[in-house]
Amino acid sequence: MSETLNTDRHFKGQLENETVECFCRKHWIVLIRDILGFLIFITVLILLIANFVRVYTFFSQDSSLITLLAFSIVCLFTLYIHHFFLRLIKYYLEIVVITNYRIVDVDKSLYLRDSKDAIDLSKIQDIKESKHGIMKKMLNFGELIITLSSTSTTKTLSFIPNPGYYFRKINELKREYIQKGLSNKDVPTHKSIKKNEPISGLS
Amino acid sequence: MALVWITTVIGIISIGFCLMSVKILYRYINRYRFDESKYTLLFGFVRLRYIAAAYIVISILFGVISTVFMFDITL
Repeated sequence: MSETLNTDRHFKGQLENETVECFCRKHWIVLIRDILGFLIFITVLILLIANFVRVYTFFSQDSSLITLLAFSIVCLFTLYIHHFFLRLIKYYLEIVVITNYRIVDVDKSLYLRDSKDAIDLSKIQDIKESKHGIMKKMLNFGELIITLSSTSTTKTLSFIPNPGYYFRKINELKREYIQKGLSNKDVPTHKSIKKNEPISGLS
Repeated sequence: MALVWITTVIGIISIGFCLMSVKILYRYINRYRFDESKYTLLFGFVRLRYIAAAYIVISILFGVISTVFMFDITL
């Protein structure tokens, strides 16, 4: 019986009748500072290796201060490597999942963060696509501003790549959800849901 | 001399931390699977397993090289 249900299948907290329609990560522009930093780090490493003889002669001096400097550099480089890769992993774990019931904003990192913010499709009053600025227009990313019907609060999904697609997708799903209501079509069947059925990103 | 041993310990901890991180990551992504497409990958082609592989390789290389370097300049 459990094979046909979707509970916790694609993300923690997924409901048994909930199917993932699509998902997205933030645009790569959010990583530009980290990637530039890592490129500078790699350049410094290459320069150190290219001038290895001079570097080695400098650090081989019999001075505790220079040894301490070498130790500090090693520690800083080690910390930086971990910081960079954990940031990259965080980028992959932070996703926005659009299901047939709701929009789930998963904010997760490997160690420190694990939170989810869900917006029910029926609670959405208005959705606005925003793509202001040269960079956003050129690189095709922007914000989706969702206004909830119960309160006047808004939820902004920022750095969404190709926001037009997700804007249309959410509107379509909202319309379908309202038309269907909670009819029998929502009850999972053996035919409609198969175990390990892949969920496509945008295709 | 003490700094050299501290560097060795830092190198070992660094490699251990990296392996633990990758293990936790793989446990998570195997538990909650998504079918990736060129629209969801970083720059359209960078898969998470490439990042994990690069993380392991760079951490191990840097841990080993930094320890050898510290031994070499101190002894």
